[in-house]
Amino acid sequence: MTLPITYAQLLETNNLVQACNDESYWLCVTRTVQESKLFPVPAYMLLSYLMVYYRYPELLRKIETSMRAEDIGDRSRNMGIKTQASHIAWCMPGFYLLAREYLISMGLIRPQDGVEDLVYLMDFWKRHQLSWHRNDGHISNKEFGHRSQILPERLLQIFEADLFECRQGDSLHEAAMKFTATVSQYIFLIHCESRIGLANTGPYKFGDNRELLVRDFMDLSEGDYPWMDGVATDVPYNNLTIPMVVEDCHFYLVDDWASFESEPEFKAEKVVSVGLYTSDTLSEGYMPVGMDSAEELAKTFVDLNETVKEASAKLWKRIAGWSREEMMDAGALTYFSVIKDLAHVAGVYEFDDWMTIDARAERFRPILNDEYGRDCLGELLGSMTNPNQQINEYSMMQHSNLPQRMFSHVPYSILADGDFTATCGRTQAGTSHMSAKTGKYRTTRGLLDLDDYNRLARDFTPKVCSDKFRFLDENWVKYNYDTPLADELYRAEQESSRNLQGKGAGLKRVDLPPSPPPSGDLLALHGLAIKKMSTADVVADILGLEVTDVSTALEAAVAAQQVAIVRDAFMLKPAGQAALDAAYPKMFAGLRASEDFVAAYERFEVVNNDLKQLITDWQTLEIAGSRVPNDHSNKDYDDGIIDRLGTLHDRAETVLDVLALAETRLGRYTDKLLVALEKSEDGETDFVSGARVESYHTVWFELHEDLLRILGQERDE
Amino acid sequence: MVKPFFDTDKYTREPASPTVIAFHKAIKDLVRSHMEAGGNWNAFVFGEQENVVNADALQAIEDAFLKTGYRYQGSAMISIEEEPEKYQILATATNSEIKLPPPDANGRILCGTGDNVVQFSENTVGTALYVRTSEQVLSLLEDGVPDNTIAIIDDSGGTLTAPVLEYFKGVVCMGGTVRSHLGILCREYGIPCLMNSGVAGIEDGDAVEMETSAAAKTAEAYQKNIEMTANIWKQC
Repeated sequence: MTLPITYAQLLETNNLVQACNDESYWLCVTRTVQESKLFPVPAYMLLSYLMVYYRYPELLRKIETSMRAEDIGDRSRNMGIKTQASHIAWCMPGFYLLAREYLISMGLIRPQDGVEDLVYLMDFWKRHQLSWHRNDGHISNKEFGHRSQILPERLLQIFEADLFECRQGDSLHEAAMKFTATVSQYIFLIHCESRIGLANTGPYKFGDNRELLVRDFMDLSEGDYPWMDGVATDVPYNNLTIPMVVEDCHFYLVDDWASFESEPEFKAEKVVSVGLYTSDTLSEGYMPVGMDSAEELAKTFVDLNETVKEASAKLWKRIAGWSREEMMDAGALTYFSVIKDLAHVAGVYEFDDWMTIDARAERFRPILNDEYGRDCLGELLGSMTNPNQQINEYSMMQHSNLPQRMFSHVPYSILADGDFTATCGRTQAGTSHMSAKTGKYRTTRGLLDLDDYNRLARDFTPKVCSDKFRFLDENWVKYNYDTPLADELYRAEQESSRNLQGKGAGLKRVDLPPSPPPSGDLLALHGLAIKKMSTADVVADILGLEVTDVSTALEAAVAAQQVAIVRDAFMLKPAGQAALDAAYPKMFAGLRASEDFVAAYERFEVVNNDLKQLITDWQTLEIAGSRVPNDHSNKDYDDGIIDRLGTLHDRAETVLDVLALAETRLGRYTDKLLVALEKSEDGETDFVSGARVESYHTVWFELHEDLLRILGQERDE
Repeated sequence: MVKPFFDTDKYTREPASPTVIAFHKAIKDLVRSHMEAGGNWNAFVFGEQENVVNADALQAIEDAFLKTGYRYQGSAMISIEEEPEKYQILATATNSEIKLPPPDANGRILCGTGDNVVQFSENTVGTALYVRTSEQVLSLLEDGVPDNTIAIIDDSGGTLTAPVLEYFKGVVCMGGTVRSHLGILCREYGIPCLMNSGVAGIEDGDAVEMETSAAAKTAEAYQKNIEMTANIWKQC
């Protein structure tokens, strides 16, 4: 037969196979073979691989009748859906090659069978990967030393300008961290104990000691998986992306399974800014979610957390009632359909293509028990102890140094003798034990039925992917940023940006608007800590903030369990105190490092001792050697004390001025002290030390509390 | 008569596990018989094979294997529940059979080790609770997880304990690595967790201490097989 495949093509195919070979071993070696008490995971994985082998080549060809792999790659750069790592980056070739090796190990195919399928699939993978990685110029994260810098400057600028600063302990930080934990767990459940609904890309440099990691959470709502019908109807977004900036933490590894490692270890406390977006094949890139203010974002995370938690519990109960066959099917379908979003982008998604099990794979079910699943998978991708995985004795495999190869190469002999087969053939009818799909498909344009979803996808091209812009890459921008065309491209991306809308292509990092300081939440909590139990207007007054802002912040803190409402007033809870304790060192780092401020505080303490004596003298009289309560009948005595208070205030003012110079809001205490002094001098003597009014002593005491908290000191009395 | 390709293999070896050896040998026997009976490979590979190596033939292979008295090791609870005749009944050692080392100077008995997921400033102390069945998880979900519970979990996935995971004070997982799903989830929740653990002599209700102040195990340590473990003690 005539061979349509050239020597050069075969050389390249074997090279791509080998690249997957080396990396798959590395990826597998740091994890044990997956076992689960709930799902027969290794068994369903084997079933899914077989489904992949018999269907991917034809389904990929079908996708390319609508859109080329490299064109889909352009789309993939602009959204957080399952066309990234691990989906296309590893699973597509990895699953296929594992299936091929599995079938070879059973003696059912030879390395030279289905060659056209293999060459085509690896070529599709290469074209999509090169396009997806276009901005960093690699084919895989592995080739880039385990890194993926997919996004263009114009989008990274938007992230940098629009993300909200947060610090451990504030309500945005707390809400965001809680949500990522809850949604991660939900995703493992949706995906039958696998990580394929999570993706991480990056890192990107965000200044001297900061890096951005882009985290995607996918297929959260009603959509492709029939088991989400009815349990996830209330989840308002199918895909969410959380760009997360960390400080003093370097992501030294982001692999093709989308896992990351960092030095030092990534912990929640490292996160200093976050945002939230949704996207899909029908959206103009990433659409902001709850991003108008830090308070709104915190509330959005809190609300989504509740929604996802409810959906999670419902889904868990549904899964707990499944038979083994249903668990096998759901798991195998999830794995098999890991690349299904390619079909959504191309607008050619069909339920029977992606959510049924091809008869040629289904036949193997009788042998797919738990033990065989575990051991067969372990031998395939761990110990590589199948006969077909052994190569000549001088060989040293990358990483293991053993004479083994996870994935067999295609023998070049086929170019001479023509002894090969081309393809496994057409897709065969499939079956499934899962309930039929009854729900709709959640998209950024609402709940759609499948025909509309496909039609809209076929008709839609995001602006930045249009013919006008698609080849205007980062290198073109470098030399043409001052052109109207570059401005137009940047403005298209900036349309939904809060801070960069209409700014165009000329900005560099230094030109971005400075990030607002961490949201008012922590300061509101700090104010409440000083006032102990009070209403929002009182806290706002002491801090010099708007009442509505403080009110929103304290309400959010109530939702985050940091603050309680007691008799119509707010009260700090232990969790709120703990949040403040955790936040103070960073929150007041500048003041704590300021020698002037610390010296002024030390002088304040000296004046404080004098004030304490003065108040004691105000409250008591010495009569015949013993102290008795001052009944304020001796006006001369009282006037003498108020005079002393005036003198003390003059001394205090020099200290207070220095404090207010370093932290403006502290000036409010000076004003209040002066008011109290004047009232005392005018005969309202309750304003010397009265506990129910803003007396001199009350204000002084609160200022003292504020200073102690700022500097992390204990009250010495 | 055509010899099937796998019968000529310069570097061949036998697979390592009993079920793989048995099933693959039986499947290859079917292929060999077909070829010996005059089969043509190209017609067989993506055609006739579907009739020769079909679900019935594969079922017969399993039946013959189980007739030898072999019983599978199960991992998912559902597999053992649905087909108990095919699976081994899990025998669990009772604590009286286990000999533990003497207590250390702090009055703790070393009961096991694990790989630390995240380093915390302090060790984690709590009350041991084995979590093994979905019924158990359901009742924890309904009645609440007792304070200070350190869950001891057999599998490294996160789904069995999904609805209650965030309420545990600590997690000791008998499988996986620090990069497994459960490790990832515990890291997200900030729950102290030891993966790939081995414990002996701990019963429900025992006061246990996880050495979560130990260094977290790194990818490099896994790759190079470097020992990097954290201890698990029982307080006596």
